[in-house]
Amino acid sequence: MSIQAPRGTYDILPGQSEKWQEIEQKINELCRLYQYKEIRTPVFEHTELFQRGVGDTTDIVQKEMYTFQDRGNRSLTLRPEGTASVVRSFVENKLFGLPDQPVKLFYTGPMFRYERPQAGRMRQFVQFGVEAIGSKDPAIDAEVISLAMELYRSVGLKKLRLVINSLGDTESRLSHKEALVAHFAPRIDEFCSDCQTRLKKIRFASLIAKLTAITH
Amino acid sequence: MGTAPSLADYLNEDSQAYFDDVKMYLEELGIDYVVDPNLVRGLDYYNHTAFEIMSDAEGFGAITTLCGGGRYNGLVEDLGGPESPGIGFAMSIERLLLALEMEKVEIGQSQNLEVYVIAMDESAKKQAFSLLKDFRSNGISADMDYTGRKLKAQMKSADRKGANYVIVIGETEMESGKAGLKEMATGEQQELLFSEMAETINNKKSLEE
Repeated sequence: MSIQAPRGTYDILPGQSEKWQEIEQKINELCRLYQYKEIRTPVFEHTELFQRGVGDTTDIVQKEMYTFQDRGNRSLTLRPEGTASVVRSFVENKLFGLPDQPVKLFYTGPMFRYERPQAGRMRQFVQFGVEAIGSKDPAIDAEVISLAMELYRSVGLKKLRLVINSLGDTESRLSHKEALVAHFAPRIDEFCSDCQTRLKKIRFASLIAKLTAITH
Repeated sequence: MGTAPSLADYLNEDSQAYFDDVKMYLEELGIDYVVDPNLVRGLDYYNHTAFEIMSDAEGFGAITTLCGGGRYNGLVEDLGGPESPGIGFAMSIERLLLALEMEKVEIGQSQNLEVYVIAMDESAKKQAFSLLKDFRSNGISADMDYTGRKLKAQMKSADRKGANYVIVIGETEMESGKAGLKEMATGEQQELLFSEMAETINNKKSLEE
């Protein structure tokens, strides 16, 4: 039997690749206009990066990562998303020391997640993303959102809906988490074991944060 | 179980002010938005602004989120750097393509081949091959047959590739050093020296632009 592409992967053939090229051109042009510069990071990273950067309790880290030992016994992981790598590189290359902050970066490349494949959800898929690091001006939030909207519009999409929310700062999140835990704690037994673990971790995390706040 | 406490009710003054500013700047840019208090991000390090862009196109399956992003104040420190608040988004190109399909938007039309060169025999093939190089180094896309097909099959091939021009080189052409440059759209043919062809095509192209 002939060998087929692994489940959740696919080939981009001529006829389709022109579409990809056009999108990539639009990305490059738009990022030039908005002054986001391209960054290219490795496709695999130390597993620990995603455990710390994406979060130990997330589905991505717990269930969806392509993790393997290399021949030197290092635990490596095919990147499941782009932000952790970009931030790792920002720190490692001391981009925080550049005179012009925020540092505005973009990337395009394959990401890997072990998920059940369906339309629009593959195990190897390509993400375009941007990161603006080094500013907490609400105007840059709007700029980043506007760049994403503009890319969709520039390829001809019209039926778009932008949904926004605020998750608040650490203090707001903490008091909300406490309220949540207090709300659900009496019936914790009714949750699946995953959710129970998460609830307990939230409790633990908020306790640590509180203690830290006091000792500081 | 009763209604779970909503995050919106727990935003402190700073967080609410930040959110109001983001909305003000979006309005300044003329970008419509909907506030959804249930929108959260899957990843741990997000705070303040969270956003998603969804497709409202008909025919989409369960997954209509095209893009997700938000602010992470704290991630850089978690990964060993100094305090550097950030914001970003990620979008899947596969879903973008799916959305284009649902909205029936065509992109990425492949560009027509500019010149197809047909050689009638072996010595003509050498001439054809060097003509290809001449075209290509002058920025003109050019191709020929590499499977030894007959004239008729090669003409068909030129047609399938949507060639703008076809040149046929046989014994006569080799002797005269000239060949006909045939414009496929009009059927017009112009006798030219091999050395004049690239320049002629480029002149015509610049006239069209």
